[in-house]
Amino acid sequence: MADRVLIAVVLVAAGYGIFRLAQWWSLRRAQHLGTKDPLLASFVPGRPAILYFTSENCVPCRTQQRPALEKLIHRLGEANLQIIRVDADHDIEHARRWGVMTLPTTFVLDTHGQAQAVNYGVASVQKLTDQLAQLSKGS
Amino acid sequence: MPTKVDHSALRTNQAFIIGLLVLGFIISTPALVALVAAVMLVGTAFPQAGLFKRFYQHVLKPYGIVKPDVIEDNAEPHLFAQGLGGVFLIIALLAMATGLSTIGWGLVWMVIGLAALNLFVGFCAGCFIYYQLSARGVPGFTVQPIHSNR
Repeated sequence: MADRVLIAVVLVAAGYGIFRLAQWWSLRRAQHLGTKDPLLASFVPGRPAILYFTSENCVPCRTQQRPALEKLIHRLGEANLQIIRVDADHDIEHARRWGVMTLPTTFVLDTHGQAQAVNYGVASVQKLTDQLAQLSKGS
Repeated sequence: MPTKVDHSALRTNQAFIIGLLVLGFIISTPALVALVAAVMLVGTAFPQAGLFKRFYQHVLKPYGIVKPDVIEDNAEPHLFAQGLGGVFLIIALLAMATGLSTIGWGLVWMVIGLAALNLFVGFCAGCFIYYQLSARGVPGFTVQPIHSNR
């Protein structure tokens, strides 16, 4: 049985590792895109931002991610945070370029528009708050 | 027509599927895989009879262990995803019964992986397939994605 436990642990760790690697790779790619990406044309320097990939038929976007973002902007104020919403169904090329694999996907951008964190799936208010707090620590 | 779907029930279902299949692999017991396959297929044919969902409804929810997360959604794609998982497990069991143990357990791990993807990342591969078939007008796949202002 020990060998099967070992295999299970390796498979679970590999799955987690692949997920983290995909996350890291996506973040790296987003950082390479930099602030010159046309998707960030509306980005206002000096305020952190959340780049939010969604679509019309994404149920968790509507029921979980959007309320979480609304709560976050209500808590922090529009003067301290900007949200850039992208419809991944209409902007397929952008979504592909940013490495979006699932919806919702959120990128946390620092005050210069550099991606510092990426979340696949629904990101809670707490998680986004923590990621934004990390930005302030880093700057 | 969209209905109300309790996503906590879906997540409980996925957690049980993952847990029992991993346990089945560790103790090398195809019977456990057969049990999960049966629960998934019965739960697809008779949604109210899904064992893991019933456990959620009668134990986890009433005792406040898991909070309900009822949202407007289509139930059909989730049922299809569950049924597809059940079919993969049946194929896995057939493979194991015919001596193709590695292929069988490989399929089991594929189901575990897809259930984990749904549970932890929120991507339902079966629902995606359902909507693709629906978009191509395949008979039986009549439900359209719910459109909203995101």
